[in-house]
Amino acid sequence: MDNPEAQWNRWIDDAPKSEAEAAAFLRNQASDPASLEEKQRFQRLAGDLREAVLLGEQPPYPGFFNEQIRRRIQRETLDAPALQAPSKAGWRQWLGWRQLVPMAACLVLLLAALQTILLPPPHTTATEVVHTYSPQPSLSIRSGYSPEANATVLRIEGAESLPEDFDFAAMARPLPEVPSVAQSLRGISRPPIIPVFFLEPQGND
Amino acid sequence: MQSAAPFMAVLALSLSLPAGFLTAAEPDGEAPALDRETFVEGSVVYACRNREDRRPADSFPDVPRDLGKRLGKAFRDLDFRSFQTVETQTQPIYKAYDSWIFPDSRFKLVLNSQGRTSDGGLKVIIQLWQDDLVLLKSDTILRGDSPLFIAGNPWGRGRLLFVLRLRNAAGEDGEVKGRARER
Repeated sequence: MDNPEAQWNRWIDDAPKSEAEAAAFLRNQASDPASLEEKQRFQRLAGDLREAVLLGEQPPYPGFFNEQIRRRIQRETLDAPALQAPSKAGWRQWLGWRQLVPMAACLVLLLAALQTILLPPPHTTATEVVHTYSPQPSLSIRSGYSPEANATVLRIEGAESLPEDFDFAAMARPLPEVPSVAQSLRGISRPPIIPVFFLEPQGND
Repeated sequence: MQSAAPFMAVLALSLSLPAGFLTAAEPDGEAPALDRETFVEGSVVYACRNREDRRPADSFPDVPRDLGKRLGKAFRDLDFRSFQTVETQTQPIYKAYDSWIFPDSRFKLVLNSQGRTSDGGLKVIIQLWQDDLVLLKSDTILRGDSPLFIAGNPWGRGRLLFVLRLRNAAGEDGEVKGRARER
């Protein structure tokens, strides 16, 4: 119980606990006359109290107070951290909580790195626009995703306004020609059949 | 050496984990082929803000409620409150040919399939034609219940919207459950 209050009490009682503290008290006495005055005042007060109180009289219930003091000392002794010899800590020391925190941090970082490297990207159920553009220089395309609608949105900006009487179904021009294998073969006339005869060479036997 | 011990322990523990990660990740193989029952539904929608700007209801019925809600959310900034169907078509998606939606109309959607993705999406190259002009080209992966909305030309006081959705033969969302079947 070495706190400033206890030290102050020892200073007042003139009872230093060590030689070093006694020297410190002397230095303090020389340098701080106010505290010396305080000490002298308390000592006068203690003397007056000693004179006033009957010294031979037994205090009431001494056993009770002694027991309370004993219990308090015992509790303080138990609460104090027990010093462990380094030899007993031994190999388990590196598993202490001070080492567990950086270990856990390292583990989390490693797992995160492994997950990034090894796992495939999370499965998406949304329609995805990989690339989009407009061949018309006057148009621009903006793309985005609406999570509320779970829909992907493309916006054509700069398209001309359709007239009020625009008929969606009226075909303005015939469909563009789509070449197919069947169509490309259709115009080719069948080649003439040229008979070819193979004659076995007759050798001289 | 004592300070290196925790690090070595963590390293050993971490190196024992990738086996689980590796088994969880599927190797990227070749994209599965198309299913025969893959269809795409295309819709042309007229969207406007006010009731007085609506088209005649007998020729332009309201879109289904669910689609209307989605369009409203997707174009919230444009404050559209009315969505009317101009035309709807469902077309099969071919493996080797383009699929035309609204082929005899002034606006056409052309879809060129690039096959399925490993997670069941449909890779397509989309073209939006107006008469003989291509307004838009897009490489897109269509997935299940996630439509593609295209905001097109202004029309009157509203705007034309194009909607593309995957469908299967039963008319439901065309997401492939699990891995797509090989043809």
